[in-house]
Order: sequence, then C-alpha cells, then structure tokens
Amino acid sequence: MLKNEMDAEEVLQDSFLKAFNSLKDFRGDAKFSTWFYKIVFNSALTTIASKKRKIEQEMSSYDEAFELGYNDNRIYATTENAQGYVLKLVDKLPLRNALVTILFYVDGLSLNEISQVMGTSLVNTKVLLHRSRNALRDLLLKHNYQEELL
Amino acid sequence: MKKITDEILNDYIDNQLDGASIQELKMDLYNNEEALKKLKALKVVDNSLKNIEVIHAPEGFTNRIMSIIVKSSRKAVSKVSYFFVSVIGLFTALILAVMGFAYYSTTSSTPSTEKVYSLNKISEYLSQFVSILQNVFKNQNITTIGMILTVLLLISGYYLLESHKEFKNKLKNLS
Repeated sequence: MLKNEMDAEEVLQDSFLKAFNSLKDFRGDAKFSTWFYKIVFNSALTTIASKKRKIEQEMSSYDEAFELGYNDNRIYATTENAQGYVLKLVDKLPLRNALVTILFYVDGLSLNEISQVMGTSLVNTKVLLHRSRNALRDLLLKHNYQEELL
Repeated sequence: MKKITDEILNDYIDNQLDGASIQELKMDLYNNEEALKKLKALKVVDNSLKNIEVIHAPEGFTNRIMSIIVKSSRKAVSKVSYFFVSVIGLFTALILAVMGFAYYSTTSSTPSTEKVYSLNKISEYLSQFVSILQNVFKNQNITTIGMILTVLLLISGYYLLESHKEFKNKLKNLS
C-alpha cells in the first residue's frame, strides 16, 4: 500500500500506539482485528496524503484505468513463472485494488470485514476484488501463463 | 447456452456458486474455449495470490512498540498524579487559611467589631444548617429518605450489571 518499507514500519508503529490509546473507544461492534485493520488503513491513508500523492485520483473511482500494461513488459522480462509475475503485478495495482487483494488473500479477511475496514459497501468491495483478479488474469492470458495450470 | 460472465467465473473461484450453477458452468465450459482459458488464468491468479509471502515486522519491532507504549502510559500516569497533587494542595491551602483565620480571630486580644460580626454570622448560618439537618432526620423523613436511597441503589445496581455484561461481551469479541 505504501510501497516503502520504512513508511510501512512507521505506520504500523503509529497504529499500535493509536490502538493502545483508543482501547477505551473500542465498542465491540466489530471484531478487534477489523477495528485494528481500520486504524492501520486510516494511518496509511494519512501518511500517503501527507506525502502529497494523488490519493484522490487513486481512490475515488472504481472505473479507473489500470496502468498494469505500462509495467507489464518490464515485469514479464524479469520473472520466470506465473506466480512471480502475478506477485510483482499486485504491487502495481491501484491502491484500493491492491489493498483488497492483500487483505483477502494474505490476511484472510472476508469481504464483509474488508468493507468495514475500508468503509466501502460490500458490493463495491467485491467489485474491487473481481476487477483486480480480472486485470491480472488478462495479463496472464496475454503471455499464455494459464497453461502453467496444466 | 448461458453467457459465462466474469462475475460467474469469479464467484466460481470464490466458491460462491451452488451445486446446480457449478454443473451448468461446467457444461457451458465444454463449448466455450475462451471462457475456459479465462477460468484457467483466474485459477493461476488465485493460486499465486494464495502463496503471497507474508512480510513480517523487523526484528525488535515488538520491543520497540512496547517501550514506546510504556513510556506514553507513564506520561499519562504522571499527568494524572500532577493534577491530583495540585487539587489536594489547593484544598490543604484553603483549610489552612480558614484555620489560620479562625485562630487569629479567636486569639486576637482586641477583636474588631467587624470580625465579631462576621464570626456571629458564621455561627448563625451553622446553627441554621444543623437545625435543617435535624428536621430532615426526624422519624417520618428517615423512612422516605431510606426508600429513595433504596431505589437509587437498585437503579445503580442494574446499570452496574449491564455494564458488566457489556464488558464481558467485549472480552468475548476480543478473543
């Protein structure tokens, strides 16, 4: 999400402190992990905003054009198999798409939990996940990587 | 033949289709090579994403966080104690001032008429206050006060029980 290890570490540290100091505000409406993910998510957004990235452009629209194709040739040239290729492309997904994908696959959150963390509707969260996968799928098809499944 | 949409394929990957829909999809895929390719590619994406390596926090990160938390909580505690000390100090100063004034007024060999007047006023107010208290604690009033206190005690007991239940629920959610 932050594309920078130091920023990620700083945000994580900040999130732990915020969570500790706001424990009394935890009402128990959602799971504790969802509440904590939300703190991390908001802290990361604040960091990104403070770095004056074009967050609004990245975040507001679900119809944004993926720029995966721009990085495709370079990534394809430096990877040996489909898995490595997909993993490198995830990093190039738009912010929200990458986040939904990581929360779903790495952290094992349900779509419902992800929608709570990101403050989006369940339908939009599902759309974000499907679009991310479809974008990755289309690039795999371009290079015939689907044959690796056989 | 039903059109195989991206949504159907994604739902299949996420195990969101029921048995009948899966059978229907499998039948449709026999005659739809394009959709079959898409499904294979989606499976590769899904498998790859499931194998994303989790990046762990750097070594010593937990200790660093804990030391920061301990420091910040110490600060909070010291803030509270400063406040407590200052309030207690203020009260002590007030009590000492009143006692000093009383001592000065009673021991002063030549009390001025003003001081005598103010002391008389204070003792008058005190005796009024004592007589009000005596009226309040007469037999018939004690019963009323006891009832009111009992009701208040029951209400506060109820709220205490509710907050305990809420706290238990929070603990359950945490685990």
